Amino acid sequence: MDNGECDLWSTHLPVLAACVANTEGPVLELGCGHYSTRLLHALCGPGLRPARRLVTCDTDPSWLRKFAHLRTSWHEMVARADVEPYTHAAWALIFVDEAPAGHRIGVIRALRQCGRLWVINNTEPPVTDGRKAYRYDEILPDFPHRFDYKRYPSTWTSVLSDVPLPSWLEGLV
Amino acid sequence: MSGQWDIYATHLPVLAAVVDNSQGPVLEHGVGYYSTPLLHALCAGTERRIVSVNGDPLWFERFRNYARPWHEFRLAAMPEDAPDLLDVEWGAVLIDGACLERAPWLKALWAADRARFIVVHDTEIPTSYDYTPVLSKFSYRYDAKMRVPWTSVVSRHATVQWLERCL
Repeated sequence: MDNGECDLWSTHLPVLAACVANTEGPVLELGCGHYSTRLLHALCGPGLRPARRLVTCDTDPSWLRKFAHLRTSWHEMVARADVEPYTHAAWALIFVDEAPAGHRIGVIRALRQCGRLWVINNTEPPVTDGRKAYRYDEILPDFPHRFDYKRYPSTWTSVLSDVPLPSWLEGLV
Repeated sequence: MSGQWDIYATHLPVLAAVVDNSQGPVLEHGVGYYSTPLLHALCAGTERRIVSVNGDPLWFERFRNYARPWHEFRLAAMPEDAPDLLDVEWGAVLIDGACLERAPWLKALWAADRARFIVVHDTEIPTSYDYTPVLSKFSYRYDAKMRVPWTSVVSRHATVQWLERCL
């Protein structure tokens, strides 16, 4: 599936990469994927710097198994729907891209005070047939600062925070 | 969740790791729907200099909206069309342009000896793109074979085995 330019499942990569590269500290990925999990692993790994803690969480164990080879001392892979264990940490960045769609606002609420920067996928206006039942309008307005990455009109990715966002985000295309 | 990797995107984790673990300007040979937005985004936060080079003006136009004071676009098919670029101390280079342009750029960059890390896409077939003669000259090489097409990272002076730890 593509939009004539790139795979529709990959549209969040530029803004996610930019946010990870410009933050320090642990990263929580909610919902693994062929694009995001490998990219986050590459950016958080101990290349020429110390590793960053990366936790990949997914409600579907069969998806996590696809990435079992990426499990390391610094990259945890966890199959669970309950994110309560992660509410006791301070996350530099939380990436939200999990299924089922309706699960997302629950985990955002649960982790609301634990993430400094949030990157949330599929924030485009809902389609009228209700397929995209993310119900983001119930939680995203609580964030005082928001940037919508709309490079790909059918799939937006938003960056949200309680602190002002860096101005360079506006320059992303 | 996602489906499978697009074959045109197999180099992205390698490219991201190299750019994020290097300093200095970035040279992109061959603009594309995957690499150009990613490199642009990775460089935006610090306004790290990036130069995107391509030999096809029609293809190039599709990416002009990425141009910034820190992100330059140069129309140049061969290295002799932009000799000043061979004098830059590149932190990272991507070789992923038109087939007949790749080996000349790689050879010129090897000879200039100014690039720290060079990411080369589509290296799974040794004879393709005429890569072999020049790739074999580099002192350090890492082949990322997780996905086909492969991506290799080479350097004349810096080890690249650290990539194993983050790929």
